[in-house]
Amino acid sequence: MIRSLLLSMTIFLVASRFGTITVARDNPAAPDNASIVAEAQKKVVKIFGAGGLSGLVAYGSGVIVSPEGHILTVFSHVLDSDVAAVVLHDGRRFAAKTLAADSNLDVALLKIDAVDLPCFPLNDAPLLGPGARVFALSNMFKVATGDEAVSVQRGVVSARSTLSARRGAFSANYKGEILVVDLITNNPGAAGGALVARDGRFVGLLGKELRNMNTETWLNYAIPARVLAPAVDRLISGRGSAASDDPLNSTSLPVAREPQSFGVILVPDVVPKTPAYIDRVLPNSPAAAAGLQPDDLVLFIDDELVPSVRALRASLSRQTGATVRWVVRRGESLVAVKLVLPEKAPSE
Amino acid sequence: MKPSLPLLTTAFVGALIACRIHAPAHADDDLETLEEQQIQAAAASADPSIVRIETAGGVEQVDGLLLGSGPTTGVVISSDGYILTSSFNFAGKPSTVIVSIPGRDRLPARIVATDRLRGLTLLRVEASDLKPIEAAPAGSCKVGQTALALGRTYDPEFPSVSVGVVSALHRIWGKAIQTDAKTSPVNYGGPLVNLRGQAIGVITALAPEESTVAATVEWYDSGIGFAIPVHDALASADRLKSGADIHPGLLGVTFQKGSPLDNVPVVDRVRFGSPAEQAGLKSGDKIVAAEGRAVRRVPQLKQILGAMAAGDAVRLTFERAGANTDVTATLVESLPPYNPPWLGLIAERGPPSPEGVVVRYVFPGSPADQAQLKPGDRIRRVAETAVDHRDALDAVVCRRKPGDSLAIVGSRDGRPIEEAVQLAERPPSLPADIPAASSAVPPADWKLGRRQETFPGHDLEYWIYAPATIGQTRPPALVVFLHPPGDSLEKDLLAAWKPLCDERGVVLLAPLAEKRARWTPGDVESVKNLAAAVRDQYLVDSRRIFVHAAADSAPFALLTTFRHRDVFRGALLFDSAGPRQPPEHDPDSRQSFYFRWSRPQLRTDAATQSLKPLQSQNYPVIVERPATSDDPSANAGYPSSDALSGIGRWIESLDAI
Repeated sequence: MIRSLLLSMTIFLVASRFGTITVARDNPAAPDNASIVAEAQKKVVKIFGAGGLSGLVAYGSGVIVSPEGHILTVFSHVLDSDVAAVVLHDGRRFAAKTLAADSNLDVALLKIDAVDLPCFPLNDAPLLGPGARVFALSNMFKVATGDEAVSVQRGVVSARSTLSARRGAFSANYKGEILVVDLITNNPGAAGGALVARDGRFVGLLGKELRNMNTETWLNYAIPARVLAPAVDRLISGRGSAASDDPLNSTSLPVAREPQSFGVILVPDVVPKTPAYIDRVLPNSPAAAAGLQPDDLVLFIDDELVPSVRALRASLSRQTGATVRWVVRRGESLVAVKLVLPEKAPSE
Repeated sequence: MKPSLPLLTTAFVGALIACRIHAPAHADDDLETLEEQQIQAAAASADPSIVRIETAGGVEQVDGLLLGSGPTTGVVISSDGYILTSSFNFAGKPSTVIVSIPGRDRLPARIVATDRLRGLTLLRVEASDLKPIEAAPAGSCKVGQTALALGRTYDPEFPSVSVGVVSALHRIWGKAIQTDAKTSPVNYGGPLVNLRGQAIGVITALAPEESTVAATVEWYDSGIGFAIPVHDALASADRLKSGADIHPGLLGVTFQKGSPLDNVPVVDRVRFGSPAEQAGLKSGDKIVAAEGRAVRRVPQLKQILGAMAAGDAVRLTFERAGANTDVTATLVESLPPYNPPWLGLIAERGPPSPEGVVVRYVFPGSPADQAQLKPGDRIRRVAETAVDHRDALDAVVCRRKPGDSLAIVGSRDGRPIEEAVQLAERPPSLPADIPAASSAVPPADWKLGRRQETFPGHDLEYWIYAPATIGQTRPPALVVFLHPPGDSLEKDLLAAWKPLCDERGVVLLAPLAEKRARWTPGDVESVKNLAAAVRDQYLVDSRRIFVHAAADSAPFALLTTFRHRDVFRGALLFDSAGPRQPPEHDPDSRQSFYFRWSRPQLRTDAATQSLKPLQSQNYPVIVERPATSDDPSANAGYPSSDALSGIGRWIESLDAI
C-alpha cells in the first residue's frame, strides 16, 4: 500500500510538472489581440451607396447591432439612394433599406434580410478614459471590398468631450458627448465604423469628417455607445427620436433670452470678434441689482467662454434655466454674478 | 500516539494537491495592461500642472489661417504664478487671457513676454502655491522613448492624451525635440511627458522653414510634431521674466553658393554694420568652427546659429590666408539696410592735393551748411583722418551712419577752422540751383564733338558727343543712353542734351543695338566695356557715370546698372516704374536714381509704390513729375532741353558727399 501511494505521489508530482493536471488556474488563457479583432471585424460591414461626385465618396462603414440584421451607421449622403448595398466580412452581399434616422445624433438605422448575424450589444460598453487602448475598425478609403474584412487601427482614447464641430460653413447637429481618439479616423469611408475596447466590447460609432470649431483642426471622434443605446432602441422599435432629448428643440420661453432681458446693453457689434463689453446697465434690472457696471467685459456665461458679442448672444439663446451665471472681468479681477431672468423685460 | 502511515501519506498527498490548486498563479498582467495603467498614471501625475487658457478679443484670421476660438493649454513652471505656453495660442492677439488652474477658480493672466526664436510665451497669474511641472532630468530624453502629448483643450477635468515616441532631437536648427505623438492646437503649450509623468518638453508650433503662422501648424496630426526641450524652455522663461521678447539672432553674412552636398561656409558678403563686420569677418573667410564645434558645411553652422537668440555671443573661428583666428560676435535682432550719411557739399573735382579738399558748393540746410562751411573752404582732416581728395573724404564719411558726429579740420582764406558736423539723411529733392564747375581746356588729342564709331572687338556701334569744355581739371560725367527698340532717337537726344553737355561737362554716349532693335541681356557686357573704355579715354569722373533709358529699354538699363555697380553709379529713367528687387545697398556700391514721369499711367499710387523697394534700401531716389498738357502729341517724343534742368542739377550732385 505504501508502494502504491508512493507511486501515485510520483505520478502526481511528475504530471503536475508537465501541467497535464487540469487544476483550475486563476486566469484562463486570455484571448490575444488577433482573435479579439477577428471577432469584432465580423460585426462591422462595408456600405456602398450614393456618391462619387464632387469629392463625396460613395462608400462608408456600419456596425451590426442585432442578429436579424439591423445596421447602425452615420446619416450621410451615402444613404441618399433608395437602396444601399451592405457587404459583410465574408463577402455576403445584401440590399439594405434605411429604416429610420436620428437627426440629433446624425445616425441612421439600416435593415438587411439576414439571421443569426454576430452583432455588438450597445448596452455593455465599458467607460473608458484618456489613455485607454482602443481599436478602430472601418472601411476607410474603401480599401476592403468583397470578402475582405475591414481595416483595423490601434490607438488610445485621447479625451472625453462634447462635440462643437463644423463641415464647411455648416455646424454639426450633434452637440453631445463624444470620445476623442488618438487615431486618424477622419478619413473617407471611416464614418459609421466601430470603436472597440481591448476586450472587443463596442465603445462607440466612428464619427463623420468634421472640423473642431474650437481649434480649427480635423477631429477624430466617436459617438459613445451609451449615447447611442437609447436612440437605437427607439429606432428599432419604431418610436423615432424623442424631442425631449434634444436641447435645441426646447419649447419657447416667455421672455426673449437676450442681454437686454437681464438689463445689459452691450457695445455695438462692429467686428467679427467684438469683445462683449457692457455699454450701459438698465436701472431696476437684474444686472443693476447684481452690481454689473459699464466697461465690465463679459467673459463667461454659465462657464462657457464668450469671446465676442455674437458668442454671448448665441450662448444666452442656448440656455434653458432661468438663472444664468455671468462672469465679467473688471480691471484685473474676475467677478461672478447670478442673474435671474425676470418675468418682464426691463424697459430703457 | 504514532500516526498511521496511510494517514500520513494521505495527508501529504492532500497537502500537495491543495498546494497545487491554491498555488498563486502568476497574475497574468499582460504588458498592455501595464502600459495602459502607466500612461494614465503619467497623465494624472502631470495633471495638476497643466492649465487651460481661454482668450477673448483679437482677430479671427492670420495669414489666411482661420484661428480657433476654443481653449488652449499651458504648463505651470513656478509656484508663484508663471505659466509657459505656445505663442501660437496668441496668434490672434487677444485682448484678454484667462487661465483655469485645476482645482481653482479662473484667473486673469498677463502676457509677460514672447520668445520668438522658440515659439513660447510666458504668462503670469496672481496666485501662489501652484504646482510646477516636474522636469525630466537633463540628458535623460532618448530617441525612441515613449512620449505623451498632453493638452487641456477638450476636457477641463483631465488632460487629453496622445501617445507616441521621441523621433529625433535637435530639430528645427537645433531647437526642438521631434515626436510622432499628435501635436496640434489641441495641445500646443502643453507638456510632452515621459511615462513617469515628467516633462521632457513644451509642445509648440514650429516649422523647418518658418515664414508664416499658417506654416507652423500646417503639419498637425501628421506624425511629426515638435516640443522645446524642457530645460531650454525653462531657461528661456527665466530670460522672459524681465519682460523683453527674445528674437532669433542674426550674424549678417551670406555664404558662397556651393553644391548642396559640399556647401563649405565661405563668406560671400558681410552686411555693413553687422555683428560679422564688427567681428572683423571679410568676404572670402572660411568659418571652420562655431561655439567650439568644428563646422565643415553651412547646415552645420546653421544648426548652431539657428538656436541662438539676439544678444547671444557666438564664438567663431575663421581661416584667412592659411591662418585661423578666433572672434566673438554678438548676434542682433535685425540687420537694417545701409543708410548713406549726408554731409551736404560738393567738392572740387581735381587731382589730389596736400592742401586738402576744396568745397565747391554747400547744399542749403545740410549738415555742412549748419556747420557754417562755405564754398572755398579747404578740408584737411576729417575725424582724425587726413584727406587730400574728394574720394578720400567720401571714403571716411560713407562708412558712418546718419546722426554720427564728425570733426572737420581745415582752413578758410588761410585761417584754420574747426567744425563739428552731425551727419543726416539725404533729402529726396534737389536745390533750385547748383552751379556748374568752370570749363577746362581739353588736351589736343581728344576727339570732341559728335562722331559715330564701332567699338573694336565687340562689334558694337555707337555714337558719342564730347563737349569742348571738359579737361583734366574738369572731369566730365558720362551718360550712357540706351535707346528704345526700333528708334535710336539720335536727333532729338542730341538736340536736348547738347546745351547740358556743354554747360555742365557731360559726355553723351549712345551705343546702338544690332539693327537698332531691342537690347538683349547678352549686350550688357559690351555696353559696360564700352563705357569703361570711354571713361578711360576722357578721364571721366568715375563717380558720375550713369545709364539713361526711357520706357521700353528701362529694364535693360536697370539690368546693366545693377550688374556692374562698380562702373555705373546710377540710372536716369523716363516713364518707367521702379525695380522690384534691387540688390543690397552697401558703401562700396552706392547708386542714385532719377525718375521722370510724364505719362499719365505713372501718376498713380501703384507707380509710387513701385519705388518702395529702392527706398527701403535707402537708395537716393528723385522723382520728377512735370506738368503735362492734355494733348497727347505734346508728350510724345523726347523732352526738349529746357525740360532737362532738374536732370542737370542731379548730374552735378552725383558725387556730392
